Amino acid sequence: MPAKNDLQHMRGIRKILVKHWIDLGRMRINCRDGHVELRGTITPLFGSNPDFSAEQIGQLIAHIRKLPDTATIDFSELKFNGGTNVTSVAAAGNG
Amino acid sequence: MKTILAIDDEPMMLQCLQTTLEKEGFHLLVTGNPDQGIEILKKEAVDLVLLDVKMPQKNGFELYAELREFTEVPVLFVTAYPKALTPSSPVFKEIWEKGFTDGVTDIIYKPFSIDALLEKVTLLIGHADSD
Repeated sequence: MPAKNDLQHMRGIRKILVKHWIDLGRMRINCRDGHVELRGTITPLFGSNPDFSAEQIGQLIAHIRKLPDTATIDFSELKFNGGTNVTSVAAAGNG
Repeated sequence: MKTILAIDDEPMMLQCLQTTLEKEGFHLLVTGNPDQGIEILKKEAVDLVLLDVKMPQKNGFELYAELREFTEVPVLFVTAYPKALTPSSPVFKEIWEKGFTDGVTDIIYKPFSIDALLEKVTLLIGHADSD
């Protein structure tokens, strides 16, 4: 059961995704006490952009990290560009 | 208790939404008729609208524009057609830039899991018994 702060945190993350024209229908967001869990696929909204580059994904994750409520992010179940795991981008130092 | 209005032309989908969300403690109002949905919204205190995008009588985006003329109720679009949600549609672009940025609008694609539906509903309006 997310607390009120967790809901506000989730809404903050959602705003970042909307700003980047990311298809919200393909992603699931969960926050609990500063821990963010992102699942699904980061896909540009149909017709908005070509697929995201690793650098863009790194920037996106960095924006989410910068939110004051974000303590940790788990994106082990999050993919982009049809299957690349976001963890690989973060591991390369971009996230 | 929070009230959710589901507008969808598929009776099976309405039944599924009603069963699932009532189990979670929400009060459900359902209709397959978009115009009737508008009438319900004018009469009842509704906390969330689940809105099908592709209906024979009226497009979900048109209905969204109509309801935004008199209410700021959160809306969760429910659709099997992701390609309908594109910035090349000026109507959808406006919905995205206003409603989605304000956090009062979201999308879920059919078929969806119960967990995914509950996450989206909670994100928009909190739990059935929350303030």
